[in-house]
Amino acid sequence: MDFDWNEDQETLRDALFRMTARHAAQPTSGGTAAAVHFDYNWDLDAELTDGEFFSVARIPEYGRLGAALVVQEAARSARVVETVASALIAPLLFDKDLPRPIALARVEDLTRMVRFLPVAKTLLVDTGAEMVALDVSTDEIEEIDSPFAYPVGRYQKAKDLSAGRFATSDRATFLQWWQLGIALEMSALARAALDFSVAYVKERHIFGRALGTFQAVQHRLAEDAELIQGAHWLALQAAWSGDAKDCALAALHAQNIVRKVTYDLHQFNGASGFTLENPLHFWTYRLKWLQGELGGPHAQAEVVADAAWGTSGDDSRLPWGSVGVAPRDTAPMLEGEFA
Amino acid sequence: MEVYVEFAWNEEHTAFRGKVRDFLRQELPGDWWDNYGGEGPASSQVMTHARSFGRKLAEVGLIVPHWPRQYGGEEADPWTYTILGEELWTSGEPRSSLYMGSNWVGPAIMQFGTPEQKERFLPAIARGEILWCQGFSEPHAGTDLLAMRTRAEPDSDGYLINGSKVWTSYAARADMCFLLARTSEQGEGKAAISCFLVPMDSPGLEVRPIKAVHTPDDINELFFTDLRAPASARLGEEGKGWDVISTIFHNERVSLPRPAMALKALDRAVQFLKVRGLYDEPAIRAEAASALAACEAARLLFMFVIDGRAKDKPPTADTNIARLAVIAAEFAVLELVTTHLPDQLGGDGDGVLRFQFQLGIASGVGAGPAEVQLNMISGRHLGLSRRK
Repeated sequence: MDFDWNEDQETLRDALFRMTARHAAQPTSGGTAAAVHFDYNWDLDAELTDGEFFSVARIPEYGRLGAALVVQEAARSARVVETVASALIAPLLFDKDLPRPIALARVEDLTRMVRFLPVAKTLLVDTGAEMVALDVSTDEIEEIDSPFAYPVGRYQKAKDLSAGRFATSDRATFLQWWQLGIALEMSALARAALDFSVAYVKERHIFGRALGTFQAVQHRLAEDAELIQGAHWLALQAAWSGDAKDCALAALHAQNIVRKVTYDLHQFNGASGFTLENPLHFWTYRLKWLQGELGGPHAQAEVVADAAWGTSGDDSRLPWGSVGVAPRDTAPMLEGEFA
Repeated sequence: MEVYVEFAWNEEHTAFRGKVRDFLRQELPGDWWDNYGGEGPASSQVMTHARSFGRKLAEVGLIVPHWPRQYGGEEADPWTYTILGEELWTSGEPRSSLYMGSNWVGPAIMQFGTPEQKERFLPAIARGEILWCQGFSEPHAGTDLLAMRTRAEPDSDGYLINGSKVWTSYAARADMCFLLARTSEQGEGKAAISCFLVPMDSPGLEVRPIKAVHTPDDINELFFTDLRAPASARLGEEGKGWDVISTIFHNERVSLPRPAMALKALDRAVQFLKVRGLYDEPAIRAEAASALAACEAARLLFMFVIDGRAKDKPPTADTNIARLAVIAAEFAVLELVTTHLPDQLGGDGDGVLRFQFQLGIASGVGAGPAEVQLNMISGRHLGLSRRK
């Protein structure tokens, strides 16, 4: 067991931090009265590409944990740049680079809403039977206003997936790395939102004292810190192990905690937390999007339950021996036995 | 490749866990979970059994492996002791309150004790011979420990102790009490508190059991009436008891094996759900999976704390974060069991689930309430002050 980053990883993290800090949090580009467009940060994307940060997962010294750092630091920074598919999923699945940015979708999402689709060069689609990689042509895509702090879009009409660049039947691995990406991004978004909010409640005065001096506020923030730390370590453990159960478990926990964390943080930021001039929405609104990604917590829970305990008739994964005796259960009383 | 963030046990640790499991399989009675473990570590069954079991543990070096060699230990690293704690706790803590001696009383004596106290207690603790209880809480001083009123009046022969303690687990059958009392009239602050090591058969000490939902006498009241304690019973300097307590709290509040027990109970609950055909219900599977996530998160947070200890890092509020996480984890398992398997919590129910139920329902109360953890996290982790 060792919970510290090594020197190489610290260096990588510092480099990412410095790089993201150089780029301003992306301003929005307008939109309708109901929602806005969020422009993609092409400058940061180019710098990450030039620095080969999207390839660290293929470098043995970094591997999945290196990719985890890229995803988490980008998420923390609030900049609009795609990392999960490019730094984590694609390098783990393919030997060669795909045109990027890369969007991820389930087939049913294609004509609804897909994050990063308006800027994507490649789309990885889960069809339910396989994973299909498609080249994205912008003239097929309609950009949509949304509150989710990503550029989002959809296909204007149903997409013919047989035109895909290639397909793989190893759908399970694709979904597993997607779950890992969700967990990594969400835990970092939540931590950044928490840190921002803690700084805010130290400064914001109400009833003649700092908001953060009220115990009612402190305790809820402390609860959030515990939940987020748990999500963080579950995500890193999954990145380390690459185990299917760990990945699903980490995504499940991250999606489970969003409701409380985003509620609390918006509550303590007050009305300003909903304005575009306040960066909180870059983290919290993305969390709300990711809360439902890949089917949401119930879908991840199904994967977890299968991986942990198998199906009804399968007891091979349960440690009967550690207790020494099998469960004793009384048979339900049948009607006839009342007679 | 350099070692980095790493979540696996090494070969040595894995072998140690195997050794402990083999020992427990061999030494615990076949009906352990039916007639012992399910009753809880403060029960008469487990405490009585612990007297012989402790000696067996000591013979194979499993009481104080983490202690210095000069006191009978093997200087095992914190990970090894973590594994031992997990294996014993997930077996219903067959050490009973022997664990207090090895976890924190012994280390406190090593740090603050006189040569005579070290000679008297440390070998006996290492041999698994002393069942302890801790006399901390009082009717008007629970979480607010500094409000304690029990007095140890210094006189020419030592101390005259008067007062009472409450919620004292293990006291009905313990050998020794680790007692906190005021030794000065001066104020109510930290400076007036001292620690004492008091035999439970001392004249002037009465134990009255408090009947609780689960048990007739696992928790107790202690009454001290002119109990005469020699000066040699005081641990540490007079009035410096808070220093000792601070050390104790650091060790006590980790509660590191609890997520492992919650995980075991969760597995056990799923076994029952399968037997009853409830496991295929998606909502129940989701409930179980979320409980698993909460347990695994809590376990990782504890491991993070142990990693800090293994590297001699100063204690942080990460301990409190882990404590808070285990409350959530234990409640998640508790909810699953009480909602879907309540019949297993009766007297003839499953021992593993009954033990976990007792732990879970009191999870936010014992060893520093949840609100104390929240205060510590707010202050030390988030840097939030309560000063206006």
